Amino acid sequence: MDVDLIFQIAGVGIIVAVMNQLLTRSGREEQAMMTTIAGLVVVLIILVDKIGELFATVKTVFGL
Amino acid sequence: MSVAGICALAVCAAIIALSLREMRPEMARLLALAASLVVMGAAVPMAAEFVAALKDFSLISRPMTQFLRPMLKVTGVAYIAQFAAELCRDCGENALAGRVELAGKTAVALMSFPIIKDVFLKLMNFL
Repeated sequence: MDVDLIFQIAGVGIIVAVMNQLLTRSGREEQAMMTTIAGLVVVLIILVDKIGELFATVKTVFGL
Repeated sequence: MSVAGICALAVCAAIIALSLREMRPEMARLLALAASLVVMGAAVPMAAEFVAALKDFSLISRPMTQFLRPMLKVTGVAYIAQFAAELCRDCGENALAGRVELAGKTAVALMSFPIIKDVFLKLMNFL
């Protein structure tokens, strides 16, 4: 569980935010929505296995 | 990672999440989730050391080992339930957080039942 996970997620978040603003300003609302959803999916995929890893560690440590 | 490192990390993540909050609220919540994952990832090894020390200590006092296993399981359930409930509350889902805490309490009650039964049996014999 290293630190660059946070900056990775922050980077994706900022890129999605900027892209969203860019696309909505230039009149392509639906593509902006697609970008937001894509960013969300990417971040969730990254986080899901990190969560699984953490819960597995907690299970082994506490003998659950 | 030292406690100071964890605190600095948490503050940085909070500030970044704050800047993301008005542009993309869900990304800010996901960033908060990632930050809490990293902090938990740093806290769990410390807990592992404590559990190992506790296990060594319990070899000395015989009655302790019988209650050590349920106690550790309860702590583990509390760790995970707290983690999930706070994140639900952070996303504004107070009802969901309450349900997660209820599930955690039920699991804890179930796990701690043998201890309660044992205490009552001893009490009965004593009276």
